[in-house]
Amino acid sequence: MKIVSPEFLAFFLLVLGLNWSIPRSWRTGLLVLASYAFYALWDWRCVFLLFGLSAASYLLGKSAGPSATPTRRRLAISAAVALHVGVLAWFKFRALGADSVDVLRVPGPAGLALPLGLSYYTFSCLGYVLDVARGAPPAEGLLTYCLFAGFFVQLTAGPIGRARALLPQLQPLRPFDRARFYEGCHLIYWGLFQKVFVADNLSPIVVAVFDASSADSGLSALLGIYAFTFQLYGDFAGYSNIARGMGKCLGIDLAENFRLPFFAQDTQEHWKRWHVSLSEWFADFVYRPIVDLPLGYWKFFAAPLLTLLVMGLWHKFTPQMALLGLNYGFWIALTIYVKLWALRRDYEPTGLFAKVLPWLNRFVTLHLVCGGFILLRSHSLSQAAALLSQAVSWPRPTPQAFDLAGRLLFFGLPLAAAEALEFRMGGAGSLQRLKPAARVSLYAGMFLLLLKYGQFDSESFFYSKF
Amino acid sequence: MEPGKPMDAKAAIREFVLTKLVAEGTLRDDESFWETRAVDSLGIVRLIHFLEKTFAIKVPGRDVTTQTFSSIDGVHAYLLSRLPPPT
Repeated sequence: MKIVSPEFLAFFLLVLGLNWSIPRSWRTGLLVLASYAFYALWDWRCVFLLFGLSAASYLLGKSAGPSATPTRRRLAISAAVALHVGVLAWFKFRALGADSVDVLRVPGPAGLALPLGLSYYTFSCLGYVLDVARGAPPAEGLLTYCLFAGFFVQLTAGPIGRARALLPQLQPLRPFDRARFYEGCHLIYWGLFQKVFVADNLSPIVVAVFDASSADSGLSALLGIYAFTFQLYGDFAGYSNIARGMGKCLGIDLAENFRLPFFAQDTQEHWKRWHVSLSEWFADFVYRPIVDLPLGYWKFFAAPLLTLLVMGLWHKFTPQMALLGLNYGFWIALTIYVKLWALRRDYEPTGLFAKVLPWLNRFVTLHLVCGGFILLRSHSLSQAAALLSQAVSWPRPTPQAFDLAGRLLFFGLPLAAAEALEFRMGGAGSLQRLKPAARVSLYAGMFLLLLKYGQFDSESFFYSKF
Repeated sequence: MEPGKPMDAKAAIREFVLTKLVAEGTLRDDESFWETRAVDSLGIVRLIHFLEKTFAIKVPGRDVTTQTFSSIDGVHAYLLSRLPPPT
């Protein structure tokens, strides 16, 4: 059952209606039942996997808590790491060759190549044990924990739930709050727009450039690369907003996953704004242990390189994905180096340069990110290299390039304009603070665009296959 | 502030952290830099640079961990361990 489908809408409305009409003490049971039913509709076999990993991490969390002896805690952590990383790696290796990273589709149920959302709930479960070992309060019961680990709105592609932020909201579940409900509706609507208007309409441009033997000019290649970056963003931020919105409508605040990433002034900042729940997970459980090693200051450069290498390989265990991670890690390490260089020389830009620099930085960061994403979408390393070299060649205008540019502007500009407005207003989510008249106009404009151009028979979310 | 005086040192660390490193909001002395994500690794290196310059100490890289540089209190405790004992 796809998230953007009439079936899922009916399912969600049923759960929503029941959630607010039954006694509060039954709601956890209802949401767990709904979550497992949702997962069973995808593939019933995966329900056992989800429950098995949830139960195991719940029990291991009990052994890792504050009352455990250090030896017992270490054993619980080792068992949790071995179990969750082992299961994830087993399925990932099994899926190698069964699917390809370049197709926006999740493997079908029959193959069970990679269970839907496996990464996200293994990260939630493993993160829970590690968080509890670091002092986070443990879950009060298995039923609550099953909701924490398998809540259906975040099961497919996150955001990854963390014990400190999510568990207190589940024990007990909160009463209905009208403001939160409205906020949830806004997020669902905005997320739907990002997905079915922006991402799915940019998809043909991406296909024309990445799935053709080659773009007809450097300009077409460049536009295809931009289009993929915004398609990926619209797709994933759209999904995240829909998930967060549904969570809010059900009374649960999920983690924010995107914080206007294209306004980042360097790659380090971009890392903190893009797929935030995953970045924070890796920062806590891979980056921090590297910083804790008794090594010299070079560990501050090694930590981003190694962390991003692991993140790259998490996508898929191939040299291409390793390069994707290393490339990103390299730019972060270089950013840290440059900032330290400026710090040690007490360098502060002044005058006109100080005014221009933030926008110059944003421009460069955007292009570094776009360049890296070529690796995520290309069919092979050689195709990625060919596209990159074509994109940096002289931008010769061709009929195809004009056509792609027109479509990129039409479908990308509303998103860019909305994000620019949010940036001016103080950050992601600011559109909800627009004055009523402006908000109604915005919603009406979005509605018309959705009605005319929305791709409601949309493809699966890109990140649900990881 | 007279550099090197332990009572002033904590105030100096607090002022540096709150004015130069914490982008928004505030941070209690015992609150973790890492759990609150108020200070990132570059912020930690900037803090080290500040400690070295202000208190004339050398902070070796191996001393810099998420335990020693955990919070304003943690950094203060570390600084006291590095300063020469008062005469």
